[in-house]
Amino acid sequence: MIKELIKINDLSFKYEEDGEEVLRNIDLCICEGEWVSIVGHNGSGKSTLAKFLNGLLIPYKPNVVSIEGLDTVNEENIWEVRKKVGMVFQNPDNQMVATTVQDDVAFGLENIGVPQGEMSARIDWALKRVNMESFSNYEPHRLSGGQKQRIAIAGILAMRPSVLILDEATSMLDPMGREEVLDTVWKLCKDEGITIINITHDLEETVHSDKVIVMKKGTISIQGDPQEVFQHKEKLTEAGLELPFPLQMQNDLMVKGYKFSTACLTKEDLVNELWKLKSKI
Amino acid sequence: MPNTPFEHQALTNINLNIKSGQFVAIIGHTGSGKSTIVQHLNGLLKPTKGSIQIGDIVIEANKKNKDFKKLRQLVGMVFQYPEHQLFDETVEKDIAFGPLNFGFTKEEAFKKVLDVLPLVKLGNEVLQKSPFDLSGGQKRRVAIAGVLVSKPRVLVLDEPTAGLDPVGRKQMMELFTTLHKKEKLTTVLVTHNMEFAAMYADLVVVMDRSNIWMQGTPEEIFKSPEKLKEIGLNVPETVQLAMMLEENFKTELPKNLFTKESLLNSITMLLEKEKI
Repeated sequence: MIKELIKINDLSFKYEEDGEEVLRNIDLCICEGEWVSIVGHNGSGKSTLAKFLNGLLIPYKPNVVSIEGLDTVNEENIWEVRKKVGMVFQNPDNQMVATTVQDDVAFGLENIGVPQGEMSARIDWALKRVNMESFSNYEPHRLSGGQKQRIAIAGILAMRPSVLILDEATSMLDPMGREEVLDTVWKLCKDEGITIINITHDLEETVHSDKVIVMKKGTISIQGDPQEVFQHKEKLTEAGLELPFPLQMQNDLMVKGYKFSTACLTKEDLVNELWKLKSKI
Repeated sequence: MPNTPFEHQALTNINLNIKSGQFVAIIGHTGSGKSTIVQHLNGLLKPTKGSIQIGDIVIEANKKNKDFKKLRQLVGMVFQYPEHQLFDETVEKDIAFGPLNFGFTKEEAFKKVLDVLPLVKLGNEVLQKSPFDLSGGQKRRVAIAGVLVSKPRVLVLDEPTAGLDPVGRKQMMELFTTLHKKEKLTTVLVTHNMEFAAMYADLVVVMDRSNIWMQGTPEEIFKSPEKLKEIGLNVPETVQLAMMLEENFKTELPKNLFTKESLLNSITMLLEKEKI
């Protein structure tokens, strides 16, 4: 039975009383173990939405945001919610707090009062999950961007969350660092069953998701699995996003009169489709 | 930092010639020395061995240099996340900071600010606003205007599109290619984006572990994916797809398919070829 983990019910929000609404009538449901991508241009409200998921922002009324059945409007639930939902931010340099990698991972555990013995076991476990176990005595500032982000992820993992949110966590990394981080997170989702919410403006990162949510000016403009979402090419471009390269090529070929049976999300898909086309000709 | 515990060889035996008017892309993964090279171009770092010549200004190791002011006027540098360097109360004052420091009067400096705004596609209405009230993309444009206002002949761009969304990225690159042509600049672009390097550069410099690993035209650099993969880089997506097609269709395609249009033409030709 698939368990509903996060439920949002008609959420609207503005930062200032007389300001514009940053989020408008958002309804959303995320299930356990899913990989969900939230995409949108700068200022579309995706990061604001994420802040509601771990109680950094709180709705004005009850029954709007609930995490594993806990309503974030209740102050006594907040700490429990934050234990369940961990968040990695954009800039790796802003997230390192300690002088060694293992101390950095320990920071969160100390805050929630995990006993010493269990702490070191959890740190080892978490560092292993992100492939950084041989770096436990390194100074964080000497690591690459991708390594730092993986340490930040380990720090969250050690708290045993159900949900990991990446808020543009790969946008400051080079292509290699980005791949490292995404591979790591992919394994966490598949092997450990952790629910992943990846916030990005790169549609390329979303093609393997279970669910894609497209934000535009504070509303959800499309949601569904990648095959469904990528049918709406115009809406995606309108939302300020760039289609993945294979899909762009496919699009241009369609304009030239070629017909395809499915949306090509990867280069392999496109080569296969072209092969089919050629054999038909 | 020579002779300290932090001493570290960041660049080794670099030989590089950039002709005036060239568009040069420097690629390489994080820590390969890309940013260190470009910081030598306007004297932010001085070589510990060897020399650098820009126009008729020469910077040599172990010599005192008096030409830095001239050099810094000649070479404009746009750092990563340039918007983090905005500091003044109004956009006008922030952009005028450079000219005022180079000795222009207030009137002259503000006149220059007016001239530079259209280059970065900003309107006069932003002049009296605080730079901190602008959107991310606008902030970056203001910061870039602050560099362009001193009329540099060489523009060094260190990852100018980092952190922007796809639309912003595209607009930013269009801005730089237009400037490059219109102002007849020499442009040095540090980037992780192979597509940009392939599309815009005349010369591509590939860095790895403090050395120049390869340099040449985009065609020369991107014909050998194996060599780039050795150092954690890849060829542009158009070339990747072209190579997959070559393998699957047992055919040869041109080696310079760096734009979607050229790749599209090759694919149509491929599909139509045996249609009798």
